[in-house]
Amino acid sequence: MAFSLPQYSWRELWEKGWSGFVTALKGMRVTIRYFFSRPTTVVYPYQRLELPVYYRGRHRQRVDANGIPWCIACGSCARACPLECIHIEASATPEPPDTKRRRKLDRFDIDLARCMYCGLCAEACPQDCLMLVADYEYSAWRPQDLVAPLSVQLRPEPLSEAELRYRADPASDPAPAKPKPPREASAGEGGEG
Amino acid sequence: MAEQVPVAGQTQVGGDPFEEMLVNMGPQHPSTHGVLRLLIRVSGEYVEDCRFHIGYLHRCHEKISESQTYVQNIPLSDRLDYVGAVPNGWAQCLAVEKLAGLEVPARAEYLRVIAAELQRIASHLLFVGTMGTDLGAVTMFLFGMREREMVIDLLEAMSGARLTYHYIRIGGVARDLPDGFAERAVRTLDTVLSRIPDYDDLFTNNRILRERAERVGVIPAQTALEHGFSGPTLRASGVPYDVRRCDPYGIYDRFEFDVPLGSNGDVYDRFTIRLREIEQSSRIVRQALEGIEGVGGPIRTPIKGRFRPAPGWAYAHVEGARGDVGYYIVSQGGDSPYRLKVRSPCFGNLAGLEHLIRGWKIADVVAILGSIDIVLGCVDR
Amino acid sequence: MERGPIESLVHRLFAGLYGIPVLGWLIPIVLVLGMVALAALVLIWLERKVSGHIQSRRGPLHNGPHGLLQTVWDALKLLVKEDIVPSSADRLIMLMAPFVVFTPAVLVYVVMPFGKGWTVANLNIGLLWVVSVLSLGPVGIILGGWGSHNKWSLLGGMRSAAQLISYEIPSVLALGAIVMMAGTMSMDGLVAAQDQYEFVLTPPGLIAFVVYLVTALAELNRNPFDLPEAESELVAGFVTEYSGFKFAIFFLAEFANLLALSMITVTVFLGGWQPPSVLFFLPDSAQLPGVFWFAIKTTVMVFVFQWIKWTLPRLRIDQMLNVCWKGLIPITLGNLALACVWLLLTEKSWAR
Repeated sequence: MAFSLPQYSWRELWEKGWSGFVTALKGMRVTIRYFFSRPTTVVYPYQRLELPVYYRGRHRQRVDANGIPWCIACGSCARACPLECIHIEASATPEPPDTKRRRKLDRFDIDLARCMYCGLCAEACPQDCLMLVADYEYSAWRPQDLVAPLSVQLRPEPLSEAELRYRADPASDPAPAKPKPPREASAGEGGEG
Repeated sequence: MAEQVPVAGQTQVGGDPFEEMLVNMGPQHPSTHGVLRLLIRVSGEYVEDCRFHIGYLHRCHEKISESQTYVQNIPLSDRLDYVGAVPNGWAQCLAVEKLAGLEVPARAEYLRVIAAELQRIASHLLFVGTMGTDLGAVTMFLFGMREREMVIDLLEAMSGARLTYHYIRIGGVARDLPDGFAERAVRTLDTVLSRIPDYDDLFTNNRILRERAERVGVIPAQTALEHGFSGPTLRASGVPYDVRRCDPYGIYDRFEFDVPLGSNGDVYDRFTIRLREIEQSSRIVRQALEGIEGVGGPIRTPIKGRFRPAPGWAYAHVEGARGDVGYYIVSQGGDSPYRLKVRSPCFGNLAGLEHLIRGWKIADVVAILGSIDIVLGCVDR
Repeated sequence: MERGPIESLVHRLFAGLYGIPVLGWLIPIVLVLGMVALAALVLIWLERKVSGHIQSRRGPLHNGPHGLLQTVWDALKLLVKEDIVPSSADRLIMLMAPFVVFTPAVLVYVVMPFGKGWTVANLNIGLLWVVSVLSLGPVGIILGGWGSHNKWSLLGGMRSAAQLISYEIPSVLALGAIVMMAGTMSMDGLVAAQDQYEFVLTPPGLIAFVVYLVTALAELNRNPFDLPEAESELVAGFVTEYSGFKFAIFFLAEFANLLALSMITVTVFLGGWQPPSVLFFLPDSAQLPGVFWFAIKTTVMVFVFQWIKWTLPRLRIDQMLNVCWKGLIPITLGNLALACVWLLLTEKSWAR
């Protein structure tokens, strides 16, 4: 071979060997200290990590006191989604209960397997109805079962305190320390896809 | 006394062809940091020649970007260098903001810096861990991951996700800091920095690591520049190129931080330089957390109506965890960019490495590849 | 007394059937084999738990109390796995290799002194038997590497063979110093020679102990010498192409080897089944049976091996061989001289 292997003198070898021994012992001192200290494992599923309120997990829709979702079937979320995983079918209502609810939601499917949980749909929602909440335990045996219909998004449990305060639109989030200047015109950007 | 440094582009070994063997470190491999295929022709233990085969993770990012709007392209940038996701988004947003002439509010600038530097710490902790695994000290990996979990928890509180944050948006950032974030962040940074002496005792000062990493994979400064390296890999060879200093973006010129510089350009330098960068990044985060207290205001400049930047082109680059990330965007006035090109740091680093592996031993190939710190998502896009 | 037909058969089996005490040997052998298999399972569990706690996590938790049954399920899983043999591989060699590695590991237990009088076969060349039987291990590794018809396995097998045969020399020389000091090669004799104080407390014994630890790590293909095996570049070294039962045998052999070398270290350096001499203040009546001390010391040694494994990075093959030839061999040769000096100095104080 054209390479010469390194030629060390006996003194260098002795130094390397001794320092190898000493540094190995130092490393072992660190390791034994960790051996006798508490492990940092969170033993799931018996213990769980506490997630922040704005964790982008599964989708959820807000409902009013009668259990009807706030959704007005405008389709902004479906247009905002980069992956086209929201499918909305709506039809006109015969008697609109209020001026906003001109459309009735027939189908609202979100493909949870395709979704990348970017949150653009929640930001696009003009009613602050759709949100991504801190829920990640929805495994299924087949990919088809991960297409979440509306009923799945309207869980019967009431919203938690934090979820009630949830706002997808950050411009309306209170800044932690300083008082906010008066609210600027319009929510987020590009509500349409 | 030292080994000869192989000259790039020239096979030095010249062994007996009968002893040569073609080995394949295939796309599935514990230590190629992703799906990367190396075809190595070895003569005994020494690498005669090698070829990299990439493209196993190609997802047509640039083409897809042409059919989606600017807003929809931002989350895709996280998936490029998925270990250090925040600077990718920042580069893209900078380019789009240049095209559209948008101003970013002051508070958002601070938040961007905090997110990017926390991300840099997390990415370097991952690197430290994988360097340990590549060289056999598996414990180091777990320690690096444990610290990284703490930093990722901070980023999760800021943005809502742990890996693909989608935090930096066109015109600002996504969300403001939650309550009590500053204290929590300072505590986390203190914990991370307090563990670095443990790393030193366990790994960095270990004689075995130094034997395997010092004077191995030496890349001289001139060679590194010629081959298009960037980031900590380039700085370890002694070239003081850091986009935050050379071409400042955001408000980096307001912060005091050192840019660590190596001298030998070997694996050991590339390892220790990232440990020092963790310390410097935590300095920046502390300064930013202090600076943001007096700054109020919005965190995003709102965009009115449909977002259609004027026709033209813009290029913006930032200092990612792995190097110089750049986005070149051409607009023709429509909803979507006409062309979006990513200057990916790992691609340049990996391409330069092909010639520089020749002459080293197979066991060194793993160490050198690990020290370059590539992420195949960034290489293949 | 008249013996019935069955009783006389049992008596003849114990006492001698054409001169061979079949049952007299069969029972200890079965016991020892059972112990080895059980110990391998427990050691795998211990390794996972120790590595877990060193790495600030917990290791197996859910199967059985503290995850004790985890290894059982893993072993069962390996047994029901499909046995895949590459079409171009040499089937006979691939089949032989695991057993050639496993057999010497188990043969060593024949001479181990588990307690006072608890040795299966008290050879008076016990240590020589151990050393020579353990040197058959590399043969199996070369067979495994070659028979797999895989370049990576071949590389791993060759490297491992080079490493193992190189490291036998300092291992034997270190043990040679102890044999000189003890005056006997029989394992029982070595334990008996440590009734005053263990060999590890003497200067040549201490150096030999450290050297033997290093060579034991190399013989076991463990960190920091596990380049042939768990190398992240070689996938799994010479066991890449093995699956199912044969892989289980390799795995079992590794842990049987670990236990064997720990026991040898305990016997030769740490005093075997005798209570530690530093606990001289314990009254005689409180002394526990020898097996107990042997088990404790072996567990401590196994823990030390695992502790070292999970701390240190890996050496490259040329560095590993340099350590052996340029480092350990001169040290052990010097240690032999030191042992001679020590013997001269302490000849009077030892009742030899």
